[in-house]
Order: sequence, then C-alpha cells, then structure tokens
Amino acid sequence: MFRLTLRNILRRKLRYALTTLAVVLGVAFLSTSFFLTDHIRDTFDELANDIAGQSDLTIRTSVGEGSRMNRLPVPEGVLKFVTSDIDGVAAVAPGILVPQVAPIVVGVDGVAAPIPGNGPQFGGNHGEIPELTQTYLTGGRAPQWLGSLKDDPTLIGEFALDNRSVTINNMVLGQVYSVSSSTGNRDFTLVGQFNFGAPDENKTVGASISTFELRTAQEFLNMEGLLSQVDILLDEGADAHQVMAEIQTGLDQAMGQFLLDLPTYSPEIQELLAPYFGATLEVVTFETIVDETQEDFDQFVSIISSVLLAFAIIAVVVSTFIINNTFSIVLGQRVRELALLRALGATGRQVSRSVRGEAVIIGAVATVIGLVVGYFLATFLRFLLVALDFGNLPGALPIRPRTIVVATLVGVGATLGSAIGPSRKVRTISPVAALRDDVRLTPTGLRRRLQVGGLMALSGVALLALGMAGDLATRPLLLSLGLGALGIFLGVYLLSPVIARPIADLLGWPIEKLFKIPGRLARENARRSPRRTAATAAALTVGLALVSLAAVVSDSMKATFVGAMDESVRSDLFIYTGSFDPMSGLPDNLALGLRDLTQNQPELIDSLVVYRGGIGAMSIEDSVKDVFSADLAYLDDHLDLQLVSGLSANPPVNGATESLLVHVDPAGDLNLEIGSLVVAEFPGERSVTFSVGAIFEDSSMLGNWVVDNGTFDRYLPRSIDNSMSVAFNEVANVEQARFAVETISNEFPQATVENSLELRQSMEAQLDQLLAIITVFLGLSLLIAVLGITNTLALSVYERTRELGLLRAVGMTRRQLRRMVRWEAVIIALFGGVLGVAMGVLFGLAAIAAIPETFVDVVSVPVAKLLQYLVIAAVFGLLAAILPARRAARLNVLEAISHH
Amino acid sequence: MNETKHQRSAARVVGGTKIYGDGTTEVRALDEVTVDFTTGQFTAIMGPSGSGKSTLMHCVAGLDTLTSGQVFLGDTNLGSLSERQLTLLRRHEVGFIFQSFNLLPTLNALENLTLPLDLAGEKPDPEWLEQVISAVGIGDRLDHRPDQLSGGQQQRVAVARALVSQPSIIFADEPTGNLDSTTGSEVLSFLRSAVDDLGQTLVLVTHDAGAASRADRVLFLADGYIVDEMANPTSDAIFDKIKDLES
Repeated sequence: MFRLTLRNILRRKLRYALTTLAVVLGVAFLSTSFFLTDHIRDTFDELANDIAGQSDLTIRTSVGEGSRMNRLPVPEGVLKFVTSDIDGVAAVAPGILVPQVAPIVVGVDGVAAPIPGNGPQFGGNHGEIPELTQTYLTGGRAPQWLGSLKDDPTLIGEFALDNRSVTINNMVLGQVYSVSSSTGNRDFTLVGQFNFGAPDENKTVGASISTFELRTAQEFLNMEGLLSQVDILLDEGADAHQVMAEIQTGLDQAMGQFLLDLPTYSPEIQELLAPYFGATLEVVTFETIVDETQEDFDQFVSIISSVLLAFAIIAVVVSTFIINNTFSIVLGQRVRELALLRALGATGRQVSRSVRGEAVIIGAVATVIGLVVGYFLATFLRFLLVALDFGNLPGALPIRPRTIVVATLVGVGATLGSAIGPSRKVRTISPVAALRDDVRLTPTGLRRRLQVGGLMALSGVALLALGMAGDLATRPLLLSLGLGALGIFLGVYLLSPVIARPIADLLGWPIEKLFKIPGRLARENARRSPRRTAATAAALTVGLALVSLAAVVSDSMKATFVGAMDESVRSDLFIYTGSFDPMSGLPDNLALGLRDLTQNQPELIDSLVVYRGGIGAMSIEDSVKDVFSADLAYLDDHLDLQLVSGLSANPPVNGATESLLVHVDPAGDLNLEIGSLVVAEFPGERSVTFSVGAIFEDSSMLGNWVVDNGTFDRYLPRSIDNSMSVAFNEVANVEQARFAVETISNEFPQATVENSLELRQSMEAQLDQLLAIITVFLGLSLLIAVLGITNTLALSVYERTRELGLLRAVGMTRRQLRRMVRWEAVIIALFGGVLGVAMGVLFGLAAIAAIPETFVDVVSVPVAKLLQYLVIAAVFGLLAAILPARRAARLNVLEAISHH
Repeated sequence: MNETKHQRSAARVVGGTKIYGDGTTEVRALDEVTVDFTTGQFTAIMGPSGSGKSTLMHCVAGLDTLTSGQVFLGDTNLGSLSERQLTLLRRHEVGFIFQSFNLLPTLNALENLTLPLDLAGEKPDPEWLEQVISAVGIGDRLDHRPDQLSGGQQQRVAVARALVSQPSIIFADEPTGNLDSTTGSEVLSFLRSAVDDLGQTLVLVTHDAGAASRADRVLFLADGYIVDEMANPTSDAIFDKIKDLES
C-alpha cells in the first residue's frame, strides 16, 4: 500500500505540485516570521550587551515606579568619592548619553534637516578610558575641549559621529556641521568617526550617536554638573559585592555632600537639581543593566514578532483552506481508481490510510521546501529592512530547533488535517463504483453543513459581541475578537456553498451579457459546483476581509483624528518635528525665541503654548501614567479639550501646589471633581499634590493627564519641548504673523510649521502610509489565494477535458475557451471578494466598537477603497486564470474528446 | 436516388496518408487514401479497430491533419488553413455526433442545440430550428439539462445540434454505440431522414452492419486502405463482406 501511495504522488506530479505549493507558502511565511524575529531578537540581545559596554559596575540614580526613560542624571560630584583608589576598582569613567541630539545636513532636496532617524538619535561624551569606552574610532580623532561654549558663543567645537550616520549622510571629516540638542543648534567640526559597541562593527542598529569631549557634552547637552551614569571596571579577581558595598558608602557621602552644596548654587540650577532631594544613587552590575536593556528591547521586538506571527498564522489558515479543497477535488477525480482498489480487495481502511499517507508525504516534502523558501524570504526581508534604513542586522539568520519543529507540526499537521475529511469519505466508496461511469464522492450532507456552519458563525458572533460589549483586558479582548472572527470565517466557509450559486449567478450576469457564450459558460461553470467555488474563494475571502478590516478601521481613525483636530484646534500655527512621536523634541531656544516674539510683537502674536510629553513619567496609586504638560494659562485659547467642568487655567487650590487636568474616564474611576486632590509620584521618588483644575472629554490630543509646564520644570526638568502652538492676535495679518514665526523657526531646520489645514494633511498622510504598509503585508495572503484559484481551475480544466474537447470540436475558438476559463476565475474571485469585503466591514465595525474612543469614535466606511479592492480581486482572478486557461486552450481536441 | 441532382462533392481526400510515430514504431493509419463524399449522400465507413476509419473521419472533419495528401471541404483545402480558420470552419461547415458525451452538462437541451451558432454569435433561423426540433422530437424537453435526459434523447439533441447550423457535412462517430437497439434504430432513422428530407450530407463511422445498411454506400477500410466499396447495401451483404475481409 505504501508503494502505491508513493507511486500515486509521482504519477500526478502537477496536481500534487499545486497542493504542495500551498503548504510550502504557508510553512514559508511561518518560518520566515520565526527566522526573522529570532534574528532581530538576537541582534537586540547582543546590542543590549554592547550598550552595557565593558563596565563591570554602573552607578546611576534609582528610579521608583516610573519609566526608566525618566531616570535622573548623576551629580558629577560622585567622581570625587568613587575613584580607582577604592580597592578592587581598576578604572572609573563618566558617561553621558541623552536623546534627541542630531547633526543637521542638507538633504538631496536641498533642505537642511536633522539626519533622518528611523531610530533614536543620541548625543554623549566620547569615551576617554580605553578599557571602558564604547566608541571605537575608525577615522579622524577624538573630539577635544576647545573652551567653554557659553563663554564664547562663536566658538566652533568638535564632535564625532558613528560610522553608519557618517556614511548614509555622505558626511565628511573636517567639515563643520550644525548639531541640534535641547539647548539649541550649534556648529561643530566633525573630527572623527567611530564604531559603537564593538571595535570592528558598528552596532547602533538604526540609532545615531554624536559624541563630544566630556565638558563640551555637559554644556551642549544641558548636563552641566551632571552625568548620565558612571562606569566602573574592576580589578581582575576583585570581589564585586565587597566593592559595591564600598562604592555605595561613597555614593551616600557624595549625595550628602551634594545636598549640602546645593543651596550655594544659582536659583536656576537649584530648580534643575531639585528632584535630587528625594533621589538616591545606586550601583548595579553589568548583568542588571543587560537584563533591563533586553527587557526594554523585548517590548519592541515582541511587537514585531507578534505582527509577523499574526501574518504567518493568516497565511497558514489560508493555505489550509486551499489544501483541503485540493484534496477534495483530487480524490473526487480518483473515485474510480480507488473503487478499483476496493474491487481488487483493499479494505476501506487501507484506501483511507493510503490517502492519509499521501498527505503526510506531501506535508513533509512541503515543510522541507517551505523551510528553505522561508529562509530565503527572511534573508530577503532582512535585506529590505536594512535597505529601508531600519538598521544593520549583521550575522547569519539563526535556525532554531523550535522553528523546524513548529514548521513541521504545522506543515504536516495542516496537510494531514485537510486530508482527514476527504479520506473518511473515501472509505465509503463501494467496489461497484469502479464499473460505473459517473460516480462522485458523496459530500457531507447540506443539513449537517448548515448546522455546523451556523453554530460556528453564531458562536463567532457571540464572541465578537462579547469583545465589543464586555469590559475585558487587552489580551482576553483580542483573544475573544480573534476567535470570534475565526469562528465567523469557518462558519461562513461552511455556509457559503449555499449562497455560492445565487451570488455567482448574480456576478456572472453582466459577464454573460458582455461575453455571450463564453461568459454564459463561465457563469454556469462557476455555479455548477458551489462547494468548490466557495472553498476556492475562501482563501481570497480571508485575505480581503483582513484588508477591508484594516481599511475600515484606519479610515475611521482618520475621520476621528481629523474630526477631533478640526474641532479642537483653535490655534493658528502648530510647530513640531514633523513626526507625531510624543518623545521627539525641539530645542529650548525655539520656545525662547517665540516667547520673545510674543512679548515684543503682541499685535501679531497673542500667545504661545509649549507641549511636552512625559511617557510613564508620573504614577498615581502605583500605576504609571503618560502625562503631557502645556502652558495651562493659555491652553483653552489653543485647544478645545471639550471641558466638562472647570477651566484649564484654574490655579491649584485646597493646599495643592500644582494643577492637573483629567479626562472624564479616569476622573470617574478615581471619583475626581474640580478641586479634588491627587497625589502623584515623579522620578526621584518625589510626591506632588495636585488639585484638579478641569475635567475634559477629548483625549485625542493630549491624552488623559495634563499638567502645567511649570510642574514639568519642577518635577521633570529634563523633559524636552515636543511641540508648540501659536495663536495670532485677532487683528493681525495672518501672513505677516506667520512670517514672523517662521523667521525664528527657520533657524531650526528640525522644526516644521503648519497651519491647521497643513497639519491635518500631514496627519492623514501618515495614517495612509500606515494603512499602505499593513495592506502590503496582508496582500501576501492574497498571493496564496491566487494560487488557490489557479489550483482549482487547473483541476477543473483537467476534470472537464472532454467538455472542452467537445466545445472545440463544435467550433469554440481557443480565444473563446480562454475567455471562458478566465471569467469563471473572475466570478469565483469576485464571490470571495464580496464575502471578504462584507466580513471585513463587519469585523471593522466590531473592532471600532472595541477600540477606546480616544482612537476611534467616528465610523467611516471607505466605499471607494472597498470597491477598488473588489476590482483588485477580479484582477487577481484574471491572473490566476492565465495558466489554466492557456493549458485548456492548448488541449488537443481529439485527445480531449476521447479522454477518460 | 438523388445522385444526378447532387454531383458536387461535399468533401474529398486526395492521396491522404497519416503516419503516427516514427522509425520502428511507425504506424500508417491511412495510406494514400483517395475518396469523395458527394453532397446529399449518406456514406458509412466500416472496418475493424485500427483500420483507420476514425482517423479518416477526423482528418476530413478538420480535427486532425494528414501527414501527406490533401483534404477539401467543399472547395477549401484544409491544409492551407490556420488553427483558428479550422475552428471557424468546423463551426459553420461541419456537424458532429459522438458516441457519448455529446452535450455540455451546464447547458439545457436548447442551448446545447444552438451552441455552434451561439459561439459564432449568430441567431438560428427560427423556421429551420422549429423544423429540426420537431424532426428529432425533443420539443417538450428543450429546457432540460443533459442529466435529465435519457441516452436516446441526448443523442437526438446531438443530431439536432449537428443539423441546426446547416453544415455542408455531418460526421457521426458510432452515434448508436451506447444505445439499446430500439433507441439506436430511432436515432438512425433521424439521420436517414436528415439526408432524405433535409438534403444533408452524412458520414457515419460504425462497427455495426445494421447501422451501415442504412447508408447509400459503404466504404470498407483495412490497414489504412479503402479495400472495398458497396452501393445501396443490405445488412447481409455487409456482413458477408466483413467476414470476407476478416478471413
């Protein structure tokens, strides 16, 4: 029996090649996602090691509940207490690394802008101690101290830059570049370039790093008297624990001294250093740093891996539909042959086992091919990511046993699972069937199908409804929505044969009118076997449902944002970095310049509001919150947050020192009203008592928690200006006022100035881009669907060989024959498309109901785009038909007539 | 008979040779065959399996091409036609009736009947259509699909289809092979009356001496040659001739 199984496969190469291809693609996408995420994870884990550098111990401020991003710097005074004089300490190196620092270059478009950063842009000090450095010069020299930048405003200092940034921006050593930091833009000479993390390889992975001599860095990066951290190298064989204890003593002394010295500083610096009253210094090991960094990276890598995995699962589901369909058709065509086996004495069990054997062999072969294809696909995607400036991902793609095991389980499992239904039916074939001409496999009863399909669809709807209505946490919510969608898919898959005939009829009508007999036959062929049509279309249905879902959600999101903007923006100009990242930053000088303008020319500018973001900067009742700050005094003139009660400008009351604006939802959860007191923790373990100044409804612009810039100055002094808005004087000439603002902002190429219309266009463009990326990814599953249609058509053409011969004999031209096959494919594809789009809209509406109102509260269905998808589905049908149609047209008439 | 009226030839083969394979596997299916099918005549082609009778029919009908020699359908030399021209010629000038599977399962009887005309985008002549339908007696089954028709009814639809485009010549390949004798005899009667009443030219390929006896003339093929010819045959005469040939 096994030999027969093997022979069967070899003899029907074409049919099995098509089946195999479906499995290959499923396995390929799955393994690609594993290969790629393993590789990205490895790269980032290694990067975490590299970033930790060569130090054994690191001194830094401890951070309480808040995000690590908001960690306070270390006073440089610790360097007096922690020196290599301590027993076991070999070397001590001060370190500075702050975000939002980038050189400005003139791009190909002739416009000066900060070097494009898909990754973060850091500035820091150039390592001076070889044993502890992370910057390995490969060209030029280390930047030197040429004098105080403050004392001589015209002084051109020196900086070095990582190799990747130098190369991709065509920068030249010895040339002067403007570098931006929170203190402003300033000219520096590029004197060196280096590899970061390793001597022979730049490990920045998309980030850019500009380095300066330590004192220059402190001045330019707003770190005077401060360090980000202190790195320590231990003597060989030193007892780390003992040394750490000794260092901690030094740290406590340093902190004590620092607090004693504090009152002698100028009031500005005192305010900047105020958070240290509650801060403590800690010393941690290399391992702690690496673990924390890996944890941070992991959040990011997990997103990528979830997304890739989701696409892979979709691909596998789609492939399974196709495999199942192919098996059903192929076995249907082989009924006589199987009946002959039965007549010759094979038991039903043997026949059915042979069919399952075929499935296992196909699954195994396809898995091997799929893994190879997946490896190449992953290599290609990596190439794309690098080309798209995602960063360098060096080294070979890791091949983990897990990848192979899962791929095999899925590949063989999906194939075998798809064959189980058909293999069962095969058992019921009677030996007599061998002698009859027109035998068919008895399909599962329609009633049973209706029952099972209906049940599945209903439970899917129930799960979807639970997700929409229920108040679930994110994970169970996604699970219930996902399972609900899958249930509906399977239900519709089972039910769709019932509607395949009428819908195919309807879709075929215009085609018949247009193409007469070939069109008529195409329509008839599409409806003659509704199960097959439905099963073939199912793959396309899944793909199009997902694409339509994305379109509906993104369109609604766009409508929500645009609507919110139109409603809430009252200011005349908006100034930002061009990206809507809440952590991107503008130099302090820009706000200073604009404040001067507001004061000096009140006839043009009425007021300026600066916005800053503090992601995870504040915690209330031990739960970390994202908080924004703004100039509350003028905020209501710039943004309409749809205040429910109170006023943004309300001063703190009831003994509170700061004022807070809260969104209605958290206000309700915490029972807050105007004047209620809220205690929040800020970095440095400092608690602040706020009084609620206003409660608002629109969280689309500034999130749920808004405080005054003054609060950030006091409690989050290192926060960076994220964006600004300007309100013109009512009587001012708009163009004149804008010109005045742009005269100042033009000094800062990183700043983009837009009025509300322009801002709205930028926002829409960014959302469209996101949708385009998602659509392209989902489009991959459509590729498999096209393959499925080709597969079915090829099998149908084979099955209808005699009919085709007859048609040719009575005068159908090859062109008419091709047309017939082609339009059948179009009808099948459109059937799948219509179902898919309908389900996509349904899922989209469900998703919108489940997504918080902050993101979506307007429902918008992009009809034109959905129609476009249907056209694309039809085109895919045409593409899928190319090969089968050609094959059909090339049939030899005589052989075709005498086929079988 | 009508021979004096119809001297024109509907189709003819001159020196037709068909060779399959080459070298040691070479088979001469037809060997220098020259034959003429006169308009309005009913010709039967007989011969044992492998005698070349089907090949002859396929070549005359434009379904297959000769290795050497010429085929004329009316005045048209088939050898000079492209694949597309051959298809269009079949559509207009040739009618086919096969042993089985004559009808498209997706179309009803009437649609199957008018298929060649529909493919050409032409409307059937309503009077002629009426006449053909009533001649084969399927008027009450026009909207039935093939799987709702008996074997005999299916073959009658096939005969009607061959007639409806008014071709110059109709080829029938064992049209009664799958039918019981009564039904088969009925179908043969239709074919006979198509020639007598409607003036069709018919070529019938068959094993069956009884079927061949309905023809105006019988050609006997063996090993690719026309070995004999018989005008106004009877079943017995044919039967004797076959015995003769086999011995």
